[in-house]
Amino acid sequence: MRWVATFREADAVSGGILAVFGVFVLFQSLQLRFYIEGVPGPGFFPALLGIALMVTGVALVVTRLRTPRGTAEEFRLPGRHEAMRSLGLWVAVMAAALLVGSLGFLLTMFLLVAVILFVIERRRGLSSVITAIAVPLLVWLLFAELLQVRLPAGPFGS
Amino acid sequence: MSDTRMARALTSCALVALLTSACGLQTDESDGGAGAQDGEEFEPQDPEILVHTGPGGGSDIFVRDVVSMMREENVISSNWSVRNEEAGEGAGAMSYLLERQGETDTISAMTTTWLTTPQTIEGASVTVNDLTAVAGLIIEPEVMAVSADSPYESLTDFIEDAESKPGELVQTGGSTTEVGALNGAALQAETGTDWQFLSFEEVGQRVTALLNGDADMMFGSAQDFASQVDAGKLEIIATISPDPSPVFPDAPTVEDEGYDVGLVPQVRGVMAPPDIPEEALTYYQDAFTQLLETDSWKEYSETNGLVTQLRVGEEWQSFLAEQNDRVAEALESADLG
Amino acid sequence: MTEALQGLSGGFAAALTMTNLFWVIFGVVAGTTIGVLPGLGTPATIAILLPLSVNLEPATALIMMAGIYYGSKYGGSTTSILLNIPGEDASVVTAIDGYQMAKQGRAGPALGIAAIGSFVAGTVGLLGLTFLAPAVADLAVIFGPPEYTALMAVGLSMVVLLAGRSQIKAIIAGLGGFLLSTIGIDLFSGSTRFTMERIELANGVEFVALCIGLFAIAEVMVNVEAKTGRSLFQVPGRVRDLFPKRRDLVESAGAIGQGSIVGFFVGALPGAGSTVASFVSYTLAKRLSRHPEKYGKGSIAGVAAPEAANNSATAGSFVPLLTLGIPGSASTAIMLGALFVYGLQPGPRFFTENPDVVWPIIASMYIGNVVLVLLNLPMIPVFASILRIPYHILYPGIIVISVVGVYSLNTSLFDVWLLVIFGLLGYVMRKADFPTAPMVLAFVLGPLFERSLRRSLVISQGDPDIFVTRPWAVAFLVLAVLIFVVPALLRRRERAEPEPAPGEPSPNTPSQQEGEDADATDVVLDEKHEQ
Repeated sequence: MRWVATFREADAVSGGILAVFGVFVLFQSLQLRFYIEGVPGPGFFPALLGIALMVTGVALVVTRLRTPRGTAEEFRLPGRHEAMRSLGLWVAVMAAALLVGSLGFLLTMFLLVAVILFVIERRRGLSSVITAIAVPLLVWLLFAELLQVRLPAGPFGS
Repeated sequence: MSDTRMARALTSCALVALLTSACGLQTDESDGGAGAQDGEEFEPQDPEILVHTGPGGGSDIFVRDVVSMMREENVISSNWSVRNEEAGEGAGAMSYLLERQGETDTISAMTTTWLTTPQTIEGASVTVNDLTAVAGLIIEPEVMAVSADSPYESLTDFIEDAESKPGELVQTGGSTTEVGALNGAALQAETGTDWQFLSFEEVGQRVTALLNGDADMMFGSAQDFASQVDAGKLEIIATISPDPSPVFPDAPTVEDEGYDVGLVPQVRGVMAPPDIPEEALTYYQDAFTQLLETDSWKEYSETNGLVTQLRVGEEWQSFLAEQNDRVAEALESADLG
Repeated sequence: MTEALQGLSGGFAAALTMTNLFWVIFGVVAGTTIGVLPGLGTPATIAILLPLSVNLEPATALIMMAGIYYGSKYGGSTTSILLNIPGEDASVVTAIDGYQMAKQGRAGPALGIAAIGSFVAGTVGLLGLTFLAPAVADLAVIFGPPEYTALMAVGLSMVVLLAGRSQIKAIIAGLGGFLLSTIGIDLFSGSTRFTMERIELANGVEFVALCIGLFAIAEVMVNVEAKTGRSLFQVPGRVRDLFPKRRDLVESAGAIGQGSIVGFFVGALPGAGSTVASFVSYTLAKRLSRHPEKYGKGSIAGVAAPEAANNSATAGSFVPLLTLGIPGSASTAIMLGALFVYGLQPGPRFFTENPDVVWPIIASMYIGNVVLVLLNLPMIPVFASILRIPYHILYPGIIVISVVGVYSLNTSLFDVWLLVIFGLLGYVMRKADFPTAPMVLAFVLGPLFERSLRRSLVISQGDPDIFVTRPWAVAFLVLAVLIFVVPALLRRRERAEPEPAPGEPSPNTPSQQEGEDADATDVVLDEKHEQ
């Protein structure tokens, strides 16, 4: 079962969220000074931006809800299979970003590419093993060796 | 294709292994046997010097120049790599040093910014007291520049005009916590005047504001103004420092003009991680001391308007503590503390 | 004029010696390389090579550094077009239409027009530098905070031009970008804004991390939802199809011309730079185009305009450096530093006192431009063939390169985390149909707008009159209005249709839906002006 709607509803929802976020921004920026000696201070623009976000968020809700039903394009949340792939990939990349400091560049990137190919892509051939080794190694040669960028070293020195 | 790459990779791996083991042997020796020698035995393996500005920033160019002079004059035998640790106006560089407690290969250039940052930036918790003071190298006397068309001939002229027009005159400079701004605030507090401060990220923009009349005056380094003064577009009317600038020796100091203000100097020096081993500290102190005696340095400091004031170790540490209090006072008077 | 010609011919004589030719080629090759690779800032590269330059003659050293500087702008477009990885600030805009062209199997023509546009604009910019430098320098000095404010108001109002289906969503995205740009230390008060006490955020959000996240990472996330077995894009087999056709050149000619001029002037302003130039030129090209609806969907003129502008801007940025001794960017600041090491003082008298340094540098840039176009055109088939790699092998590579590229900018893991977070943000925005380009535009222009507005009010002690009493500021505000009104009127007359085309704010008879959106823009801008 998948939730199907149009951009009419979807935009109304995102407009609402943004309006609330605008209120949050406004409150946060009230902690900064709005004016200093007659001149706009650090809180001036953030406060205005918060208000503008509120106004545009509400405007988005209102304009969308005033369009007649059924005229907007279909809005589709990614299905379970698709979400598993895109969000799964994101989680893998985030994990790699968190681990690369302690595991080092080569090992982490090898693991990342291996996870992508073996788990997300389900390609369990020799070519995947080669890719998982070759991609990080080539990038490492290019950046660390040729261009002398200091990449995170990790426990094994590289 | 991939074979040759593989081969290169293997060769470089082997090289890396060889190098590390070689270096390992070297440290073993110095740690064990000959440790009692006078410390000059120490050689950093892969030295890096931090800078808290990005490439092209004031500190960055200064440090790169210093490193190339040290190489040229054979003060150091291997190249020191420069690492830009830009986060948080020095806060990032200070934390980086703190994390390297007891290590020998990382030192950092510092400026007065390192004193203001912990007092002004949220989340900047490391102070210079947490680190090892290696040496203070120079004072960069700031000078006061005005447009050549301006009616001001002296600091006193400006102050008098500011008295008659409270809140109307404009000083330009960098952030409100940099040295020029702090000294401006101190002068305002001392003389009971009030003028505006116009911040620009880049020196070029500040000089432009001075040239087109958007700002009335600016405190900056001699280098910021030299070419415009040459061309007759700007004039230097005062020295905002107790020491005269080698480039503009005739500009009267604030004291000459009769104002008694505790000025914050623009200093440059070197810091190291806490608990850096004694022999490493001595190595770096000797290196900088040697540099300051070379001809290259003398020529460089003169053309760039720097006043050499070597302070080593303890002396540098206590100087910093003194300046730290002064910065706190200035921040107080600028309402920023 | 004759003086300039004499100087230039002397400069060519000096630049064509073997040594100088070698270093100009070295510079542009190094520049292209670091430009092609994401991350690795140009200023950082020039700074690393500073020690090398000490052993060279001043002119030679500057020839090499300048080569790296403009060479990197040539290379920057490559990953933007092929992989949607904007590796450099100035090539962000190129990704918008360039990547869409690559998706349509037109990567070759996109790369080709980028190279040709860069060459033409680079040369036009150099002609400007050769003959107009003193006059433009005067203009750059006149340009104070109120004028910047007006210029940035023009730029920011162009957010609506980057809209997809909905202008209000473009405005929201723009507000988001503006808000992100306020993170960090406030220059004027020293207070920190929205940094959550992380010192990594004290200098603000890293722009390249934002762009690569929103563009490259989000794109990969969207693409992997579908099957990834084959290569994602078609690459034509015939080499002839890998280069721009006559039709492409005709279509881009106007954009290249406009980008060359806009880029040169914006580049000459200290503090604006090539990124701003590329945005202004892109939006202007869209505004002036007969087919604005094609922009964002793979318009070749949408690649030509920003590429032309960012190359012309590098030539422009030498104007304040060489005529005033005022660097307009980090790269030119390092070059200034290098000149100081030689005991040279670039300033108002630099041209007359050191012609032996200035003219060879300028002449070498003409040569470097020719070298670059000869170097880049033959590389196109090689680069384009990257897209023949099956996507399931290509995209892990895109991710790894993005991570390393962002890390290499500041050697900061925090930036990598930001990259990944912005990847998710970009993905959500894509799913909810919010355009990302306005966010990036506002992120660049927002701080410039905020700071110049606040500066203007410092100068005037809070009196907003300053925006209507300074002639240049007024001129720009009028220009802003003209940019919006004139093309719309022209187009309406051409078509003789009562209804304006969708997606255009119509000044006279707004239809209901658009009227509301346009009003919303006005509200936003007015608020900023009045307070």
